[in-house]
Amino acid sequence: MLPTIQTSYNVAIPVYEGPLALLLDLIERAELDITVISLAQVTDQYLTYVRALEKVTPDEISSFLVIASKLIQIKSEALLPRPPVREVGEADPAEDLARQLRLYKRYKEIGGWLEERQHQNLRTFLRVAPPPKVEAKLDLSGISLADLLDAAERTLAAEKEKQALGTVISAPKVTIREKIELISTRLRVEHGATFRTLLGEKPTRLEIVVTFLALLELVKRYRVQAQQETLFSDIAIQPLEEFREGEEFDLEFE
Amino acid sequence: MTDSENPLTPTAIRLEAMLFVAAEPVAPTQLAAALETTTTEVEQGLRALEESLATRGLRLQRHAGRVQLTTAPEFAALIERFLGLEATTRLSRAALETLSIIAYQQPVTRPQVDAVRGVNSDGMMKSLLSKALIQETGRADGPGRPILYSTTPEFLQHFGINSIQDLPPLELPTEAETQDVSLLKG
Repeated sequence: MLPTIQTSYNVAIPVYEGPLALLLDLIERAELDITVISLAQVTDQYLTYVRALEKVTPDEISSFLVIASKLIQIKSEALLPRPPVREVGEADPAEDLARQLRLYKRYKEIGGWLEERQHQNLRTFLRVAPPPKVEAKLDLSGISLADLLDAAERTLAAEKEKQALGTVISAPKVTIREKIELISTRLRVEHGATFRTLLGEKPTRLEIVVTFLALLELVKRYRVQAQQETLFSDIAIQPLEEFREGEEFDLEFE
Repeated sequence: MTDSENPLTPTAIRLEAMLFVAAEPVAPTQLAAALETTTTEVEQGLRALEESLATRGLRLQRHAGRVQLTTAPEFAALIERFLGLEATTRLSRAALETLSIIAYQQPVTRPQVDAVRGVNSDGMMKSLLSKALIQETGRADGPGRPILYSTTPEFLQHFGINSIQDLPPLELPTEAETQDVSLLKG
């Protein structure tokens, strides 16, 4: 009743993922069901294929050999006039292999089903945007429009004194005359000063330089005496002459 | 907007809003806690939402008891174009075969997969792991405590499946009814 097996079939051409893929293909090409009998029928073809496997790594060939040995056992048992006696609970290798092959076939079909979905590009996607980071809500209860206007007026009132946009504001001028004035006033009142005390809280570089120039000017004119104990220490300033109030200086540089 | 025949329950509508902002798959218990209701009610709501989404651009994906919104599988090409994504990698037949075994038998050890395929699946499993299609989900009891593998949400997304339950039934034909061998013949 079974169709004859094509003996001309060249098994060496296709590449199989494993021994079960090969075995399944042999049975299906022969249009057989997965039964113990069909396993025995394709054993020779299977062995032919395995013999042709030369350029296969030992790791790969071992899996083919495992199945080959099972097939040989199945075929030889099929040739016996009477089925071999098995112990209770001992599995029939042929039934086992047929079951394994049927299971493998089903998974292969499902693999094909997955492949079809993959082919149709039926992918789904998740939202790529991260969920929004929601800030704690601002409590605006009890605040009216009048409150908002009040706040705006207060803010704008403070702005009135400011110069209009576009006004160029130049850096504050520091002059030597101003600083001479400062030093003379200080010496008149306190009869002595140090360079550091002449400078403000956070003097700018310009202020330091100009104050120092003013000090040099007074030293040049023998109006003050300056003394520095060590390098970078503070400079003590003593008047050599009395400073008169409102005294004017002829200056080379302002 | 003809919302007059909106079939969604108030719970389902609220679930939709929550799932929209969820960053990852959410457990029904979490949803129930926020809604101050039972997980049974949440499950009913999810089913209603799922039904309503069937004709829309989103789907409800279920994985390991958790739910998440995804785009509908039929719009994959559109989404890829919109997001400027490269076409996704295609898996080999052997990879698909291995995946199908893991999908049905999960959690499963590598030797169990090997036993079905009849070959060593070590390299294949590593490749699937690196593609995040499967993941380690613990260790089996027994000698060597082998690692157990399961499929991931990415697996569902790759094939556009809403849940593992949407895979074709495994139902193995018995020896007596294997009449359909010609199905796979090409």
